[in-house]
Amino acid sequence: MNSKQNEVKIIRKSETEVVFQRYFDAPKELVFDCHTKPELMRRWLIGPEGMVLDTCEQDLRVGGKYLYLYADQKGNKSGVYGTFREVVVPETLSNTENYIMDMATFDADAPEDPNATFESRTFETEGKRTLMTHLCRYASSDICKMMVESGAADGMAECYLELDKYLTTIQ
Amino acid sequence: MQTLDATFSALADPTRRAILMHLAKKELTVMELTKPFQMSQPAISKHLKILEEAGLITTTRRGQERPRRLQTAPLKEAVDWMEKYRQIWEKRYQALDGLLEELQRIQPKGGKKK
Repeated sequence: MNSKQNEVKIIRKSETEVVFQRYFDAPKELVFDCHTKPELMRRWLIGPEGMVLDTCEQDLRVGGKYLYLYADQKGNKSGVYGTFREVVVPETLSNTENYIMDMATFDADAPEDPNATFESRTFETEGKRTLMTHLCRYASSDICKMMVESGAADGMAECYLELDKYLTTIQ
Repeated sequence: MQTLDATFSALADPTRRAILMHLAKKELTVMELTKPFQMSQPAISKHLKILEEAGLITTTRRGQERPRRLQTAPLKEAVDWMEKYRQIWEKRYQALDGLLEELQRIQPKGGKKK
């Protein structure tokens, strides 16, 4: 029984940085596991519009790579990949994030885009809960635009906040 | 979809975002917009053209003047569209809540669990 639902809070840190925060009613070890163990990730990391996490490869160490592919029922795929930059079990996880625009030309071994998004997640114990802080740093506002146009889900927050700000000033 | 592209494309430029902020307060002519930006009139006009093509502003008439007016509809549409994606994370985390609860029932670690 959940007495009170935890919600995603979005904080705009700078021109290119956005922070998501959310509480989970569980110890941080478990929350960390759910972000790093493929069998657990599959259970909740649902993709946009009915897509499921199909491929989930994790080489969980600094310099190790990951690849997540989402697939819909027709077999259409899209996803993200990158390199882990920091791995401190069960507290910190940071990595680059690249978006796969076209599966036909995707090459996991190609050099990474220097403009890849950087993201980090930290998990802190607060009483009986865990506070997850998820920071996304985009290379530029143009990158943000590109992600929006390609429909990549994780780039939304920055633009969303930008527009939100305008709407409140306008009204 | 084409409209959304144009909206985001227009918003990707800081000068254009600033122009919209000015227009949010009141209608302004090209001349009036040139002042706060310390930019040439052609430069401002170029930005205005992009904003107008994206449907974010319209040109009105006031005697000899042609002030620009902000149009909020495309902004609203863009926000609605993105809200869908914010909800994806919300949905994912709610699924994670359920999973965490289940994991804690199966393998209670330390402390007492009900």
